[in-house]
Amino acid sequence: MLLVLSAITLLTLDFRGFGPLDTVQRGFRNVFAPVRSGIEMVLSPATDAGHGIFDYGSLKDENRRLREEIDALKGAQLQSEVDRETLKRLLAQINSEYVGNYPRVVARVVAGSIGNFDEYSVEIDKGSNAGLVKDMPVVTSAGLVGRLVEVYATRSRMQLITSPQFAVGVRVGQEVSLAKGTGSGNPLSAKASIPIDAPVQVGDPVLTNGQDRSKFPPDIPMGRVKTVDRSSGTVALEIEPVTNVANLDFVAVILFGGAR
Amino acid sequence: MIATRARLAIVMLVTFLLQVTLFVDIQPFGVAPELPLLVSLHFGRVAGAERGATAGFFMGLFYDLQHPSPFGLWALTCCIAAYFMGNLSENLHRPTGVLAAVSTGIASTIGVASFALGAAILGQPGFATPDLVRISLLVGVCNLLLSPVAGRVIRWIYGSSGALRAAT
Repeated sequence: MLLVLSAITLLTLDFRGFGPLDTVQRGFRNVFAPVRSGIEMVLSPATDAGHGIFDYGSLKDENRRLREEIDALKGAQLQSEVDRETLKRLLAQINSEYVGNYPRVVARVVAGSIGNFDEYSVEIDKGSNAGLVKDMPVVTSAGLVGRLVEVYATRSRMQLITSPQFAVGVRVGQEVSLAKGTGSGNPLSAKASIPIDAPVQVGDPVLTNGQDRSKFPPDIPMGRVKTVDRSSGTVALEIEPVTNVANLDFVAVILFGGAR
Repeated sequence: MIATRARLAIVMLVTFLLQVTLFVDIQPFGVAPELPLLVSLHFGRVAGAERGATAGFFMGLFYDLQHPSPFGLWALTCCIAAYFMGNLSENLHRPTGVLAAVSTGIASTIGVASFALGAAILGQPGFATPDLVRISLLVGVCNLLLSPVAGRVIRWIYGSSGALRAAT
């Protein structure tokens, strides 16, 4: 009974945001981060073997899909460079900073979710020692993949854009409709809803809008409109992320928002 | 007594480290076994309801320090799971062999489902999802398969003191 009461007390303190409890948890994670890294390195042959056994079928499919994607990307690369230069020139005209100008810290995804109820977050191998703070946006060369939700000394936990708790202001379509983009809970999609009269169609780009006190700089690509549903009072959009967040390796944390 | 406690601490540490390293990467069918819950159930079975509940509480607390769920919830889950398993073993039936593994699997399924529902009651999103049934069942299967190994390890901790408790 005493132990049950102790556990309930801890839950209550955590629920009320009791500072020392958070400090203890943070300290423990900081201390154990290097231990975890070392053990992960030692166990890597075992984990590779495990992946080989349990993920063989999906790896074959993924390889085939990646080869197709590489072919498509080779063609798109040239166009992308031209578009980027055009975007820079346009942003310079309206005094807005190009997202590529923000300093960033490159990090590696080192761990997925602990346990079974946190499938929309991953750990990266950089933390406050590298200048990272909570809420900083995380991108790949293709676009937005998430934001930092917990930052420790040498590691950080990042919430993926597909998480149902993820939210970001976005602009959609050629005529710029503003919306709130959120994760869908589906590992391969996100969603947003915009006014019913907004002109938007499948394939339109979805970018962060960076409005007001947004934690994200403007114009980071989030994805493309995959489906448009006009059956309700608003237009519900399904967004296909530009990056497959299920297979992240290297990411870049944009040093944006720390001073805000 | 000191040797038992030292062995207990080592097993808790190794269990914790395996859970947050190996089973972060190896997740058969997208689900990881819940080792802290597994060993807590064996704590209850081998050491009895009260000692098992104490060991389960600290095992869960260890896991809480790393798990992104409300702090104390794993401690509560493991403590109660160990207590019930200990009580069942003491008062009703002490299963062995396949039956012990199956009962551990069933208890793990119930334990994980209870944990997730507890988190949902505390307002945590992402726990009580339609996927919960699949996750609970698969955790039950994983823990069932790992149960014989866990049983041996926990019996090693308690050694003769566990046997003594079983005899009384």
